[in-house]
Amino acid sequence: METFDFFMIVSGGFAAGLVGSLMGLGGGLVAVPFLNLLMGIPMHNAAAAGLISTLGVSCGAAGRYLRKGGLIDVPVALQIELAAAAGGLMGGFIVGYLKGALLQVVFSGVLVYSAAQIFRSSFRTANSDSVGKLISSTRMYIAMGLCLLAGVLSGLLGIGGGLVVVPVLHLVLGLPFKSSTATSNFMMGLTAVPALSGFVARGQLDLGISAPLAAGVLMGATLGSWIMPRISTRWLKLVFSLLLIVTAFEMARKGLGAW
Amino acid sequence: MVKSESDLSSRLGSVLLWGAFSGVGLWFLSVFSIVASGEKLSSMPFSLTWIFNAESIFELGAGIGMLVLAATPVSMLAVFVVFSIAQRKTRPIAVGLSVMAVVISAQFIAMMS
Repeated sequence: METFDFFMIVSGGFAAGLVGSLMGLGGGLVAVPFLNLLMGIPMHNAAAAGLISTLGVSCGAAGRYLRKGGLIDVPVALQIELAAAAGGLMGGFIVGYLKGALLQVVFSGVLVYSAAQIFRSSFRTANSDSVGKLISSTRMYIAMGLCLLAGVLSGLLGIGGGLVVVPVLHLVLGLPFKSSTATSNFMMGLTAVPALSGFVARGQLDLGISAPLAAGVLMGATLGSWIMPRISTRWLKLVFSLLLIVTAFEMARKGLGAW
Repeated sequence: MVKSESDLSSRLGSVLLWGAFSGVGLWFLSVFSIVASGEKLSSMPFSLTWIFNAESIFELGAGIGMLVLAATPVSMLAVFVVFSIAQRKTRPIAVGLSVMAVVISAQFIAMMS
């Protein structure tokens, strides 16, 4: 039975990594509901495992982007990462004072927001990218403030925070969309590590659950990044945003039921 | 020796990829061996004592694999800071060291709790 569950989590992680990389997200948005709703793992432990999957996806994807070169502006990313990492650290400790049911309700809200973002992005065309421009210090401070919020969300819910960070990089700092996605991937791992510290301190990071998830996510993300340039993801995005709405409904129902 | 920006980018990417695949690989194989020997899947809360009190090579492997993955972003930052020092770029040095300070202090708090 344990071996069966082990491979179930590997499969779930694989799906999370594959879908995540096709949608330009970390693995946490799929992995956390999978662990919580399908595998019955408590929300706090699922969020900790979600952060591990985010760390795996970030290292794998950002590693490839960096080796390719030209997509990630490391000094700019690190400057706003300072705020995101601090936010992650705060979120990881704040979540210890919140009930699992409340986290489920908040997570369902984030899922609805994600569904809307993915639905909108399915209509985005390549030439809607803005051209990179010099970043004023005011824009940098706004970006840092928003990334602090993304870090807190990441620490609370075990997600990468890319849904906040990508629009910030693209719309506030004016980075091209592809570069924003790559830079967000780079930042996610650096946010996940401080966010994890609160979970480790409370003994909520389970090596048995996180290992198969991380391995599955890493394999799925690797395959996804190979498939992505070869297929059109528009229909996939539309179906996935519907799936997120259904998951959000189920999560909110469970959370409100347990309140 | 890292000489140019593109060299640095490629080196940072290699650190991340090696860290991710070696850490997750070691961790995955160790946990699989533990589970295959009949241990429950959700009974392995991670802490520093997990490594010190490891009763088998697999428990030790699982803990070390997790630490390798968690240390990967910090290692990448260390490479970035060393490059910036060599290039005498004060702002990237300050930013890199600040992010490192947040990440390392978070890891320190987690390990000491």
